[in-house]
Amino acid sequence: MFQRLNWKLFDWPLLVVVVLLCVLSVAMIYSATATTSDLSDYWLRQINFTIIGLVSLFVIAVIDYRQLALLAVPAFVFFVLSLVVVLIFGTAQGGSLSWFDIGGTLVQPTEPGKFLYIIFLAWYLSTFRERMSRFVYLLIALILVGAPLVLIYIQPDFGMTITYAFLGGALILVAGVRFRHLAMLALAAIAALPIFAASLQGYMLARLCIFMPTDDNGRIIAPILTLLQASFQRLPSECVTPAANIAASYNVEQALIAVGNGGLTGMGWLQGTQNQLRFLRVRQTDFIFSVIAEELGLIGAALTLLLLLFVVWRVLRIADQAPDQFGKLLATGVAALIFFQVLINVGFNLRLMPVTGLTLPFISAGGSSLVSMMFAIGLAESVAMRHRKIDFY
Amino acid sequence: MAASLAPDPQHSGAPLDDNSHPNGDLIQKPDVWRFWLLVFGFAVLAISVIVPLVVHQLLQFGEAPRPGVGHQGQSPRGVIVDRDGALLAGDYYFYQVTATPKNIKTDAERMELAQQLELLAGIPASKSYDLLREFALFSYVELAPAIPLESAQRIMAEQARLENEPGLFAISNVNLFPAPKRYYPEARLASHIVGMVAVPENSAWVAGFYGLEGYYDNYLRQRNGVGLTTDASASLLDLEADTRRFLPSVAGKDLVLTIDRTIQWIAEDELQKGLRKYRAKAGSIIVMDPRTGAVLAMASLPNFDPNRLSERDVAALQNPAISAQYEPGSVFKVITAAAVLDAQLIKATDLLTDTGSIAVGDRVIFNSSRAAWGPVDMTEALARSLNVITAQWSLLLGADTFYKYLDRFGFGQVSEIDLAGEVYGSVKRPGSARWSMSDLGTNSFGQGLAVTPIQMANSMASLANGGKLMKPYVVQARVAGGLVQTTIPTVQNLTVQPETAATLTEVLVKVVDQGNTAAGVAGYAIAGKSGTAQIPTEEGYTEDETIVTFAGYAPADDPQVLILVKLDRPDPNISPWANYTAAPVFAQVARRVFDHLNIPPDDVRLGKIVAATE
Repeated sequence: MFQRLNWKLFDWPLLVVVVLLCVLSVAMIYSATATTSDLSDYWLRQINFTIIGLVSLFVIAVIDYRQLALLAVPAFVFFVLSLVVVLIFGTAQGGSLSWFDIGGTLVQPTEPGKFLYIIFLAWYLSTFRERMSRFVYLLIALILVGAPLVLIYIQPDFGMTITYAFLGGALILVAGVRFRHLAMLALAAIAALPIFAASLQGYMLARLCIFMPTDDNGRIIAPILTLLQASFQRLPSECVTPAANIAASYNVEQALIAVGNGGLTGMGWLQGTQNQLRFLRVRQTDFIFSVIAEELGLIGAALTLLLLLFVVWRVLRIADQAPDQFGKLLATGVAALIFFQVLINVGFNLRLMPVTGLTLPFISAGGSSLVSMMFAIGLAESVAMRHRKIDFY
Repeated sequence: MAASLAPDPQHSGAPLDDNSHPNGDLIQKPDVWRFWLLVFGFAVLAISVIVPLVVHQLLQFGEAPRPGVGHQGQSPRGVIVDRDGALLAGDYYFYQVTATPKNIKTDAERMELAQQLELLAGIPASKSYDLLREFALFSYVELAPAIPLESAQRIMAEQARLENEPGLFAISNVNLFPAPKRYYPEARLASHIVGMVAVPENSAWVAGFYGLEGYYDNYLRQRNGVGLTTDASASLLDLEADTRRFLPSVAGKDLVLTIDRTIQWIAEDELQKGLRKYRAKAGSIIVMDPRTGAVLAMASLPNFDPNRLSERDVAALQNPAISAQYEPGSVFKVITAAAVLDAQLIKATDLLTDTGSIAVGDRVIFNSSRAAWGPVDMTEALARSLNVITAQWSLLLGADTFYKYLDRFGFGQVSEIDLAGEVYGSVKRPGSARWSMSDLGTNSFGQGLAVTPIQMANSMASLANGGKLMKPYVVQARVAGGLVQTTIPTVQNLTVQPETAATLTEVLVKVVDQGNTAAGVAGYAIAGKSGTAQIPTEEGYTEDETIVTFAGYAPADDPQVLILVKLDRPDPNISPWANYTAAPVFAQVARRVFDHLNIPPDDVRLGKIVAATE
């Protein structure tokens, strides 16, 4: 039976800002790709994705999120199994064994998996809520949080691993874990750092080395290089060969120049030299924030960031007012997901952290990224529309 | 109602209504704290991103390199020259034409500029006009990807002329960027060694593929590449003046090859003739100096024109001399003979009895002629190419020793030649599930294993070189920044004792004299052996399609060249046998190579004939 929907509870400001971000996305993708002949229809495609995304947002919002609780366990089992299967039968792409080849289309289970992960953790942590203060339940929660992490880490997909870790951490924190336990966990994590470091794959080390400070010749500064050489037997060429380091850091370097070009007001839409002269690579996806910073300046970039943070804040607000713990954790997960991707993407655009290839929510070109973000907003709206007041009518 | 969807009541921790829980207040309170702790964490992280953004965009504004400074474009690439300095690959320059459309305000101006460019550089006016209109808001549009130097000079002259005139001119908004373009003056010659360049997916600039362009891609590009390692000791002036003709190039990172353009031409010419004469489908010829491992020529047909790939060329990009593995057939008997001699199990003069068949494992081996030859020595066994005797040698050796020798000769391993795309070949070994005792017998005469032409050539070269297996190479010297790094010949392995190599060479000279007479060159003692292999397919060996090989070296007393000839599928109506196909091609190549390298006939060289004038 269908419950009467109260559209007044739908978070309209949230939707308006999301649509604004999508409009900005189309404009910036147009600027980034219009003169590149084989990419010149990307902005049109992005409009299509926006429409598909908006439709799915409303569909998800209408569905009662509490029905998802029934799906939580089977979906999670399915997800973990798919992570195991992808390691055995998957297709490698860019060095990571994280794709299924389904009739020629590559599908990455970790992309939809984020939602299954959020839904499951929200269900588990809300169902066993008051028992979370017992260490055993916390331990089980940790194993449930950790198993997918390990499986994704050995693919290896570093960006996804830290995303999942952040989601898990945020949910456990909010769900109510004793701070004493939390402190013990933090200590355990620090103790496990050497194991983690030793298992760093070659490409992760390379990314790390690109990020490290270098002298003018591209050689990593002495104390860090010595430390790296002492810690790892085999270092990729990006760490030891200055020329390789310079070559590999080209993208990040160009992105930083683009950001610097922007100044307060920017060089103007379609006028950014780093963008239009194609010094920026993957400018329509990973580095679109640099395009915004260059062409729209600090005003545009800061406004973009504020709009994105507004989205996060509205979703957190929905979490705060959620009618139950499950809804609250669900919305918190969505907020954490969006926030984390913004943080990481803007972070590597500004060279604050190594490049991980996470997209900028709502802005980066690409259908799967946009539709999954709209799906996330749909989940939050579903929680919003079942605000606790209506449960008592 | 929604309430009915609440989780199982026994886990009462997740009620829809927090307040209904008896301990609701106790739990609710810390939850709020935690929630705001998360919000606080988000805020701190957000600020940690916004502050650097402000720093970059406001405080450090103008400190970043200005656009244009970083303009890189296509990196020049170094040249590739043969051992005498003949150019095999180099750059020549084209100009990319771009414009700043936003500075051109009216259609009349756009049309004027478009017509001007057509007049000066032959860029179609209608196309330029459309582009200038379509991208009128933009600061950058490409009007032509590459125009020749002369056209670019005409545009630059016009721009220079108008600079001194009063007023604004549309053509001032045209920019020219010089861009190097790869050119291969010898076209198809040595194309498998040189390789080619192409623009890979997801890239704006060309990269090297196949051959040296592929293997030395990072070295050849001037920017974002690698330099020489520190042991570059010689200077540019140490090279012959002829060799330096094109050195150093604009890019300044160049390769001097061991390849001799003339020998390469001889090899390709004779291979072409051989393919035509015997209607073979494909083939390879390798000429190398056994003393160093330097490759003098490496020809394979069909090859390709790296300047302009046709559709047929695309299928021929791989270098079969290093990447086509095949069953070598009887030429491999030389390796088995070397092993059995070196292990001192028999002497070359010892007689073994050929009964016409022998069982090894679960397989009975016959001679290809199906005849029995009675007692024969090593020379006769190789000259008649008797499978039964070779199988006996392998049984004398036993599996362990036999495969140990195969390792020493480098089979199943890459030779580490400095070319892209080398493959390992394949040797089944005792202990693996696919190996059985019968493989020992068939392997001994070159069946049931796969080798590459370079492996076969290099292993034979070690016999010519007193048992020293050299690492084959095609780059004689790398030249960068006035420094020269010369390749030092490296011994990879010792295959057999020098005495074994000498004995076997004597035997192989007799093999050419008595068996493979078609490979002989009058006046020269040549050591060699032919091999005819049927082609294995899924259904077994094909009836009369063969791959024929002849490998030999000369002069026998002081080997200076090793030549391997391989032809794929000669027309069986002419001859499917190596002795009548590969061997005569070998003789042709050898004769011309001796001439070119000034190797006199043995009698003259060894002073047995006094020149008539003396």
